[in-house]
Amino acid sequence: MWRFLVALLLLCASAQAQDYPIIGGGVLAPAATYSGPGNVVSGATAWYGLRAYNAAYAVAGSNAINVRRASDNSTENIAVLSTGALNISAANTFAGTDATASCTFATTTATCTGASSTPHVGSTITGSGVTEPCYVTAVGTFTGGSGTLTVSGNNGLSAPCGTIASATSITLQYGLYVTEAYDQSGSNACSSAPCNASQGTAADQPQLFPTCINLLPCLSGSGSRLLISSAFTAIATPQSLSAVYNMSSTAGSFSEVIASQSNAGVGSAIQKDSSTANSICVSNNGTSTCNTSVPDGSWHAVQGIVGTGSSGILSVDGSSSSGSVGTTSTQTTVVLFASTSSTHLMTGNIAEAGIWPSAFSSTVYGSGAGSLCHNQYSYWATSVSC
Amino acid sequence: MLIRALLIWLALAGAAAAQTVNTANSYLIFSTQAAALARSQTQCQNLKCDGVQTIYWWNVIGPLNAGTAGSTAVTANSYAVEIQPSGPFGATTTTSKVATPTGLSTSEQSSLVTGTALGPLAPGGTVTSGGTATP
Repeated sequence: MWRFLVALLLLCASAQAQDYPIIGGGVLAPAATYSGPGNVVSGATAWYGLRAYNAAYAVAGSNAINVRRASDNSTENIAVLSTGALNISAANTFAGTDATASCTFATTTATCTGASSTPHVGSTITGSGVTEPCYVTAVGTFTGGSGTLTVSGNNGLSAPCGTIASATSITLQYGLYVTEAYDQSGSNACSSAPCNASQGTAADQPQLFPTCINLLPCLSGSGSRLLISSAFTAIATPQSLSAVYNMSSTAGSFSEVIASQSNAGVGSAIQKDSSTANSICVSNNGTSTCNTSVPDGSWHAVQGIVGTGSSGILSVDGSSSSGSVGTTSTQTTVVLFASTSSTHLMTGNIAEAGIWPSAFSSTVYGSGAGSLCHNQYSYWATSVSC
Repeated sequence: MLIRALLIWLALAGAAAAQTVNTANSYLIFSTQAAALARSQTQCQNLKCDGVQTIYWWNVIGPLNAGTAGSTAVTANSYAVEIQPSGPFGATTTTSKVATPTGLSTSEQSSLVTGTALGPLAPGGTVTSGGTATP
């Protein structure tokens, strides 16, 4: 009888342990599953980003970008982690340290002393109090470790790296430039291969800012850099586009975040349509619907539906409007930061962008749970909750 | 293979697309697109580019219209290598893997034309008040 009671107690304890695993007195929380844009809405023709497209891509730990480092022009693939995040630590290690120094910052000038070596143009800057992103656009004469740097964040801010009157210790890391952004969609829409977007000319390669949007990385274009995909079979219409971007106030007319079109033609795009400040548009075949209350110099999640004639959709940070957009166009490539290989170049930063061969549902392009905006806001912490 | 095909396509596409001249840059003119691309590629090789992901160092623009850029005569369908004034893509670019500065030769530097001078010869281009030439 006694043995029976002991056995019964052991069985109960075993059953309880299986239902409620207890370690250290606490209940184990289920492992968080990464959810990316491809989990919100699958089937993108092409998608590029500095995080994983979906949970499967994260689990696989596949490559997101290939970068060239400025120090010796060697290149390396940078993958995503199982968390969905870009393995920015690997990128930072690959880049290497350019110099250290102690600097003050005022407008676009950093005045430095104690530099370990003369810094180089393109190096990114980190340090206590430094507003990110921050990188070197020009190097003055350095004598005995003292000199000045011209700095920017490609976001149009008058003091892009912040104003720091009391010298702060900074680290300069060699610039990383993106030779290729890998199409994570899995659609293999370019001759049965991924529509990777690349740039073989060094001067035209977007820069990777390791710390850019809320401590996460971004791609940066300074008005002369772009990535362009290999050619794909024409995308069906209607189409949907999505991007997380930060447009500089210095960006000119027709600055493209993402465009899908022929080399010389006008296709589908998320773009600043005119020189109007604080505006963003969704466009197809030369007809646009715009929102003119979208602050430049800050991050936004934008979705657009095109190829539907008068019922196009532009959704900015979860706030949607409808308007006329074009219905047809010939499209053969996807371009980031431009509309063709040489026009409509954007000054600003991009975290992710993609195109789908179908119209998003209102749940997807709107706000709240189940929307792309909510997924993007939750990950990147864009300017407005949605 | 795919990347090479893309780059070749890019090079060819560049001929058809509208080009922009930036007056802050300098330009080295070649009679053919192939010659301009070859010079850009040579610079990349000199600086130890991998030759796969990064093949060209400078951008190439064209085809140019016939005319005179400064004191330099330009024939129709010439192309120009675009040299940014400073930084990692400048004329005297150097990197830690290159023992001596590698960039344009003295002769090439003396042959540079300004963006302002070249602007009117860009493909269908005219120089705007903003200093850029657009089609």
